[in-house]
Amino acid sequence: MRMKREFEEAYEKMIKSDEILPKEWQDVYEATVCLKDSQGKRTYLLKNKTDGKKYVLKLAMKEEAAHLREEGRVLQEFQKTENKDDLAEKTEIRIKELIDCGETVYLLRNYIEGNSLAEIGEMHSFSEEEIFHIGILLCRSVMKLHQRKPPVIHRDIKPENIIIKKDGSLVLIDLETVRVYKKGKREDTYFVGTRQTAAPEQYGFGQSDERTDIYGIGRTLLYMKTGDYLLEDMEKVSGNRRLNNIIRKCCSFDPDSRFDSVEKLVYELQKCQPAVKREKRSLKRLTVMIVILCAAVVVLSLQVVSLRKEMSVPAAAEEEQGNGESRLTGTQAQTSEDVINNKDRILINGWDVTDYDLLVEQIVDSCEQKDYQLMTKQCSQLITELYEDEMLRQVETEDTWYYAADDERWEPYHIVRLGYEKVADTLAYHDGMLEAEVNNLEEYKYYIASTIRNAIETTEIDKEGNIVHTLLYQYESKESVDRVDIDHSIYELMSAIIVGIESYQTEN
Amino acid sequence: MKNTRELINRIKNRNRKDVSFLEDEEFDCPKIQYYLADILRSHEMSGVEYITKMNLERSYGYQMLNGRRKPTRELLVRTAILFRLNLEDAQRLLKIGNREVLYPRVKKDAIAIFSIEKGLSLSEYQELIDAYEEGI
Repeated sequence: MRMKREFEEAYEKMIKSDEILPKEWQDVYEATVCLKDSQGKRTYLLKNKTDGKKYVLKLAMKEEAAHLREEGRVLQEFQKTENKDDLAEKTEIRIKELIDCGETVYLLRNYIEGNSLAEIGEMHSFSEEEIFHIGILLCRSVMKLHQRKPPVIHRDIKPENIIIKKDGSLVLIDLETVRVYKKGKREDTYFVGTRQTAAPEQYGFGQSDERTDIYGIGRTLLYMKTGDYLLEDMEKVSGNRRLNNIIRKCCSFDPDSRFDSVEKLVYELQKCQPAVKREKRSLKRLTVMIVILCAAVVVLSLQVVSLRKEMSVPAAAEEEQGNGESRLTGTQAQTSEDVINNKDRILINGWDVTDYDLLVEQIVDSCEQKDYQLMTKQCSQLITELYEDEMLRQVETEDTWYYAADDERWEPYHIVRLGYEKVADTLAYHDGMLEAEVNNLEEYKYYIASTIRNAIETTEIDKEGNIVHTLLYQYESKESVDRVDIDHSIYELMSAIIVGIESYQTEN
Repeated sequence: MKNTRELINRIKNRNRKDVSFLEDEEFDCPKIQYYLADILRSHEMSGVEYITKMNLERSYGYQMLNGRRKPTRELLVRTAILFRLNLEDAQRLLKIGNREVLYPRVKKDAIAIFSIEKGLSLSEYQELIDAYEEGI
C-alpha cells in the first residue's frame, strides 16, 4: 500500500495544479480525479467538500464549448418537460449547474456509479448471451430518446458512452452530440461523433436520423463481439450467424439498408436470442452419434498417447534406424521436432494439446474403471474444450477435411460442435440409461471397442510417411491425403467418425 | 524498417500523380501481432508462457497472438508492464495496436504510467489496480 500512497500523492499534486474550477465553485468542490482528457475538453470527478457527494464536471474550451452548451441545453430541456411522476421516462443524468464563461463552458452533473462498456471490455470477452442482453437494454434506452417529440438523436453511441451500473442497468451518457431531428434538412452542418463508431452520414453524406443511432448500436455490438470495429474480423470469431447478420445490417453504409427503427432491431434481437431448448431428435440416431463420438474420443486418446511415445524417441535414434524401416520419413521427423517444444507443453504446429492429453488419460482411466457416467461427462468436457479451441480450427482448414453428409459440406469443427451438442443433449438421457439398463453397458462398450479397432485397422502410413485412411478414399479423391503437417490426433477423430458412420450404415 | 523522415522524403520525391508506391510494404503500419511476436522473441518467451503470465484465457490468447483478435488497450498496457518496456516503447506499442496512448492526467492511465516508470511487476500493478476496487 506504500505504492498507492506514493502514487496518490503525486497524482493529487498534479490535479491540484490544474486549477480547473471556476471561482464560485472553489470553496464548495474539489477535483479529485480526471476521467477523460482530450483536445479542448476534459471530464473530472468532483467531490463536495462538506458532504463528500460525487459529481462529474465536464468542461470544454473554444470550439468544443458549443457542443457542451448544447448538451446542457438539451438536458435542462429534458428535465423541464418530463413528467415528474413517470419514473420510466426520467433521464438518469441530472444536470446540477451550468456555467458559461463564453470561452469555457462548465457542466456539473450527477455521478453515475458503474463501469463503461469499454472499460468492461478491456479485460472481459462478452458471451453471446451478454451481447444480446446488453444489446436489447441499449436499444431500449435509445428508444426512449427517439420516442421524444421531436425525436432526439444521440449520434455518438459507443462503448465508452454506455455505463453499466452495479445493478446491471444501463445508462447512456454523453449527450453532447445529441441533435433534435429537423425535417427537411439535407445534411449535418458539422461533424460530430467518434471516428470509429460514427455513421457515414455524419461525415456529410446526409442528415443524421434515427438510423444513425442504429449504426452506433451495430458498432457497439461489433465491439462486444470482436473487441474491435472491423466487420471482417467478425467472421473469424465463431458464433451465432444471425447475430452477425444483424450487426452487418446495422452497420450498412446506406441508411436505407439498415433497420429503419430501433423497435425493429429490438424485435430482431429478441427473436435471435439463443433459444434455450432445441427439439429432440430421434433417440436412435442420438445413441449412435454419442457412441461414435465417445469412440472417436478414445481413439483420439490412443493417438495422443502413441504420439507421445513417438515423441519420447529422440530424433537421433530414428536416424540410426535409418532407411525405409522407420515409419517416420524425413518430413515427419521434422514434424516431430516441431512437436517437442517447451519442456512440458506439447505443441503441434503451435496447437497446444497438453491439457487434452491429461483429460484423455482420465477418460481412458474411467473407461477401465467402468465408470461410464464419469466417462461421458469427461468426453463432453473434452469436446467442449476442443470446440472452444480456436487454434484447433486454425489447423484444419484444408479442403480434404470436408466430407459430404446430408448434402452439406461440413468442416471438422462442425462435427465436433455437433458432437458437443449431441453429448449435451443426451447426457441426461444417458445417465438414466446407464443406471437402468446395465445389460446395455456391455453392448455399449463393445461398440466402442470395435469402432476403435476399425479405425486403427484401416489407418495406414504410406511410404512417403503420409497417413492414408482407406475409407477416406470413398469420400475424397483417390490421392493419398497429406496429413503430415496436420495434427494426427484430430485426423483420427475425423477418421473414427467416418468409420462410425460407415459401420452404422452397414448395420442398417 | 524505414523511419518516418525517410518515408516522407520518398513521398516528396515522387511524381505527384503516381501514388501507387503508397501500397509498398514499407508504408504498411507494422501489424500488432508481428510486433508482439518480436517482443516475445527478444525476451525469449514462448506464446504459452506469455499467455500464462498475462493470465489470459487460452483461446483468447492464441487469437491475440495470431492476429485474429486485436488486443485491448489494457492488455497492451499489461504487456508493456510484463516486459518492463519504457514509457516511450509502451506508447509505441499502443499506437501500433491502434489504441489510444496513455494520458498522464487521466487517473487510470496515470496508474499505468506510474507502474511503467517505477518498473513495477505485473502483480504489483494488479495490486495497485485492486486497491481501487471501489472505483477510482
